[in-house]
Amino acid sequence: MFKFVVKRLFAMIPIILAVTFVVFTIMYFTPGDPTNVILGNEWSETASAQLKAELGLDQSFIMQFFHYVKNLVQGNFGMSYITRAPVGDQLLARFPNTLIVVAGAMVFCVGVGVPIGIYSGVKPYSLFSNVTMVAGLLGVSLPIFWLGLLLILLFSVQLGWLPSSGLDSFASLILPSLALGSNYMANVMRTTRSSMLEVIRQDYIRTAKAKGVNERNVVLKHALQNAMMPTITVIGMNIGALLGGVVLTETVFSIPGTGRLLVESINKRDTPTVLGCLVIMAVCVAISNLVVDIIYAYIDPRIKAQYGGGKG
Amino acid sequence: MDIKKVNEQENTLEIKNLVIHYISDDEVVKAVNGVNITIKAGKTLGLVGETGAGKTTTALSILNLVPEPQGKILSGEVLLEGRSVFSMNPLELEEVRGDKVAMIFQDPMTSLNPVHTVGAQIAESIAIHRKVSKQEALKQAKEMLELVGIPGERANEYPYQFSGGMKQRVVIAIALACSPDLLIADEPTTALDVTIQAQVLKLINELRQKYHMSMLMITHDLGIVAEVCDEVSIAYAGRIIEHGNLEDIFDHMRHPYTKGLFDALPDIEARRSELKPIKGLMPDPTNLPTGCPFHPRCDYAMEICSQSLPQTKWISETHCVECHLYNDTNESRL
Ligand SMILES: Nc1ncnc2c1ncn2[C@@H]1O[C@H](COP(=O)(O)OP(=O)(O)OP(=O)(O)O)[C@@H](O)[C@H]1O
Ligand code: SF4
Ligand SMILES: [Mg+2]
Repeated sequence: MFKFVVKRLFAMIPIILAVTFVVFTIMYFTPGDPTNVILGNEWSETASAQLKAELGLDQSFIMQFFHYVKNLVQGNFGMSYITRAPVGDQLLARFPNTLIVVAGAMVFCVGVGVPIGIYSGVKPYSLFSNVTMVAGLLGVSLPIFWLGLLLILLFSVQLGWLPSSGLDSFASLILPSLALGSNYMANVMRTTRSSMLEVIRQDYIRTAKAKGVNERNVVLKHALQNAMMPTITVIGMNIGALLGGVVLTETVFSIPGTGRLLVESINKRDTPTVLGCLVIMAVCVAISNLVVDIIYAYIDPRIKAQYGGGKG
Repeated sequence: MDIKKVNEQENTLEIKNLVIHYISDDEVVKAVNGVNITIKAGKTLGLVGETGAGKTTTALSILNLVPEPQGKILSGEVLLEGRSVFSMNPLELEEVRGDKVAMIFQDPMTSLNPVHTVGAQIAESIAIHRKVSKQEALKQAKEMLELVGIPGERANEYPYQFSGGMKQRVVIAIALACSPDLLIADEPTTALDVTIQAQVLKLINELRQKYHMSMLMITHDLGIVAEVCDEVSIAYAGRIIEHGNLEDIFDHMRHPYTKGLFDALPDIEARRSELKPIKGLMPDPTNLPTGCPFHPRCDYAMEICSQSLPQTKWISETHCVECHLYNDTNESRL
């Protein structure tokens, strides 16, 4: 298992390099001259040429990419065109906020989606099950923007219970988590429900019942572990989407995170910052995919054996 | 205590007039249509019948495990040592399942939980019913494994690491873990190849004798019946159409269907060149024939056969049959 993790960590490197290359290429070929942005009113031929030399922008595309990667490996994300401060510092300040919001959404979507999915999968003909499935259908179709604004209107403006912006307390985390997580919560809930429905009528569930296992343990000890595979897949796949959604969430709730930083720096043509944000997000997705694979191995002994975990 | 009660307690299992249908939106599968079965303490009953005759459904009802929500028990009772299974509450059912009654399921490939070790799966019922610690249960589970011929140290492996025959042994070990009073064996050997079949059968028989269990042996193999059973019930379209002890059924069979079953057997000693399979197909349980359900396939069918269901007729103390040929007025018997 340990060997597998190490192997997978190394396998992440080419993936992240590839992502970096794609993003870098897109940014490079986007029309427009970055020195325009940086120099603003002070722009002149000579100043521009001088700045380009200083930033290495006069070099060939390949050399520029090579330099970027070389710096990246040393943990250097370059300088922002706008603030002239290291992008790394910005990311360090902003990224934790994004992580908190994503984690909040994740806790909401797993903590609510999984139990509801289990229950309505075990009792598929109950009123509860039907109601939650309709709610789930609504959940997947609500746009984050709209839902976020609606939540603010209700809980902040009308009721005044929760803050509508910022990220400085637990209370301020609630609305963003709801807005960001509800789509995925509905997804997780529906997946859990349908795989639970599937698992609960398997022969081995009947075997468990025939042993005298009580209903609670039939679900928790026998069905759940088998039913979790698709759910975890969905959660894993949604991490990328969550990071995409976080851009909107941070905008709606004015949270100083990487998502908003990304939007701002795209608007300002601040290439190094844009690159930095995207690279960080790519690393995030790659790591969470690895975590998902590790969880698979803990759930299913057959997969663990494939990973070379040996017996048990 | 009145006499009737004493009599009932001698029976490990009594199924009375059981009717179970699978009801879905577009059809009703009439799986079990008035089954009566009695197993006396320590005896083995063979339940024989074609595929779809309702054998598994009947067996599941004994544990009250007929698949919900389609499976509906429409009438009848199942009595375990006189106690009605259908009126037990969940707690009582949990106490009965695995301890008083255990079942060896038909398909060993799907009957084991893929994510638990085989040891844990055997230990589970021991831990539930014997109220022992986890370690003790696991220790006993290993002993059970050895009993069914698998080295105890393989208890830590998962089902995917076992062959089909070994899985079947694990399923047997699970069923026997708490030495139940009644063992239901649902075609325990059909999934196995012939050499292993004989071993597994021998194993079940030995263990059954060792623990003085009653057994319901479901099979469509009359050879197995001859080997392990005391009595036989022949099932057809969800009814028991003939019942008797081994001699009654093997030497004095009465029902045309039973006769057909024996005629369809390859007879090695007589070297009969031609088998005589029963003509026609087994009836469609969503649309059973009127009257005697066997009449479209029966060589002896009479007018009355398509009109009314034959009543159970006791031919001797031990032997009964459901066929119009044995009406009191009818002369043309088999
Ligand atoms: N869960 C279910 N839903 C609907 N119909 C079912 C279900 N289980 C069984 N049946 C139907 O009920 C009838 C009896 O099935 P059962 O499994 O009791 O037969 P069986 O005698 O055990 O057959 P086999 O020898 O093939 O195991 C069959 O027609 C079958 O298709
Ligand atoms: S009742 Fe009639 S149709 Fe049915 S088995 Fe007897 S003779 Fe044949
Ligand atoms: Mg069956």
